[in-house]
Amino acid sequence: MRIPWGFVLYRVCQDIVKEPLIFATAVLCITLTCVAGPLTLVSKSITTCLVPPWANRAVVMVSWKVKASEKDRHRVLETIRSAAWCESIREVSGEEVLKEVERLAKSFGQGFSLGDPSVVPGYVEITLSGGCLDHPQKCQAFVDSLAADPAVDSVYSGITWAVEARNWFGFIRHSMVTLTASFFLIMVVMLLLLYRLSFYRRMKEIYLWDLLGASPFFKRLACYIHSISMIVLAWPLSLFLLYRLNKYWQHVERFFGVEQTRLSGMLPSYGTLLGLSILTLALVIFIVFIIIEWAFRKNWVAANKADWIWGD
Amino acid sequence: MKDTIVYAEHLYKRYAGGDWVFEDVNFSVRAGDFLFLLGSSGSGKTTLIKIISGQESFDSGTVLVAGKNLKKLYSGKIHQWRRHIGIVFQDFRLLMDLSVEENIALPLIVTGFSGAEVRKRVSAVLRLIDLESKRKTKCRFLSGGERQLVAIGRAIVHSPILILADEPTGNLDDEHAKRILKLFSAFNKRGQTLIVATHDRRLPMWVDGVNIFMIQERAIVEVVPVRKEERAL
Repeated sequence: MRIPWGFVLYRVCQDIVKEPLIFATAVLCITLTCVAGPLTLVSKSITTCLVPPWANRAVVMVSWKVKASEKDRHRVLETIRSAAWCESIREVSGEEVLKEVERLAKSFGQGFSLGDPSVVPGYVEITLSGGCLDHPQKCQAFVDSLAADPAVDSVYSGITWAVEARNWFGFIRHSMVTLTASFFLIMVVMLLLLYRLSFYRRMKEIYLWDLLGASPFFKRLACYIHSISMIVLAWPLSLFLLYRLNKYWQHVERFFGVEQTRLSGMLPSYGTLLGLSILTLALVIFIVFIIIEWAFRKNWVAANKADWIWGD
Repeated sequence: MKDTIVYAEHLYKRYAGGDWVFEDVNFSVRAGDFLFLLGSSGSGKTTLIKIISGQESFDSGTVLVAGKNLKKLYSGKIHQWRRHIGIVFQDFRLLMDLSVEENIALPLIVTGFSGAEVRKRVSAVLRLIDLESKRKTKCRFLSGGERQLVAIGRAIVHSPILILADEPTGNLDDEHAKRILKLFSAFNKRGQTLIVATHDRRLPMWVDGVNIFMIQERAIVEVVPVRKEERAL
């Protein structure tokens, strides 16, 4: 059967001109869906990058007893190095401690003379990896065992604080993932409602097509063309927004101090976002066409229900 | 059965949760018939028109349209039957933002007629309903009588085998109603089959050679028409 494309296009254009606000809202809705889709898919890696490096490790400081022998200190250090969670160790001697104190005193404008470094105890700064924070109780037990060693004077443990910081950032991460996913779903629901509205506005026309013997494809044709025109406008707009967002990440990186770190390398590139945007676009097209099919099958505009619309 | 356009046998119909509209209704409409369906408001005239046009289903019985079982057409082929009928409503059901000629052309457009054929047929119909001077006028600017003429033009432009009219004069004064009936009568004289549903018992008396079915108490009763010469006595 010959399809009167010109007439259908004319009707679609008339519809857009008559209700530009509804059309613009639908375009915006599809644009935001196409932005929210890729962001939801990469939100895990984005939010991981937003967690600053210091929130992913714990610092423990072990102070030696003044009289601790070299042999004892070596033994304790070996124990620490053999621990699975130990990321790095920094040994600070009594002399370095005094120099640091002197530097600090000068910065406050006070005089300080070096004493005898042999009577000042040194310490070890241990950085524990994120794995330690997965098992904080075991990790704390290890630190407690160090404190009980006869060569160790005292231990400062930052594990509890690090666990709290990580939990807090974890909560923010989950909230952000939930928010982007919810935003995506809200946009889909809005799209559904806008389509419902658009179907009611076109009810008379679809009713007439039905009554005059239009084929099922012809009845849907105006809806298809209307949807395609919205998608054609919305997709480039969403790509532009994703591009701007990708550029903006550099500021975010700087703000959270993850610039040029391993974490910043995990941020998705524009190419990744483009790929995911194509995936989301396919999903949006699928959703739109399901809505159209659903509307016709559920008889949103059924001929036998449409008597009330001819009131004028 | 030859030349029978509509044939109904043991037709039963009731709306969900309501009383029966039709109980064991039997009737047939042959090609060239001019049939009036008379009945009071709510008697089921519109329901019968909707059943014949495939807008409304029925509970049991058989309805054949142009030899085809209507129930079988419901499964995706009902549009093929609708291409062979023209429908006129009391409330016109025109697209008011389209012009007279665009409204008349709709059945041709949706069924894929060529542009040249559409122009030719629309021009012929405009001459027939005497609205050539208003072909470009938007329907919202027309009077009630003119709107009904456009609706009739839309109903005949694709040369249907059956015209269904549901209270076509319900919104019109007597003068316009007579004009519409005169037009229907002219179509019928050219061999067109028409079914006109109305509550106005005067209408069949304005036209010659009509059949009358009365819908009474969920059944259809055929009434002997009053002839012109009998009316004169």
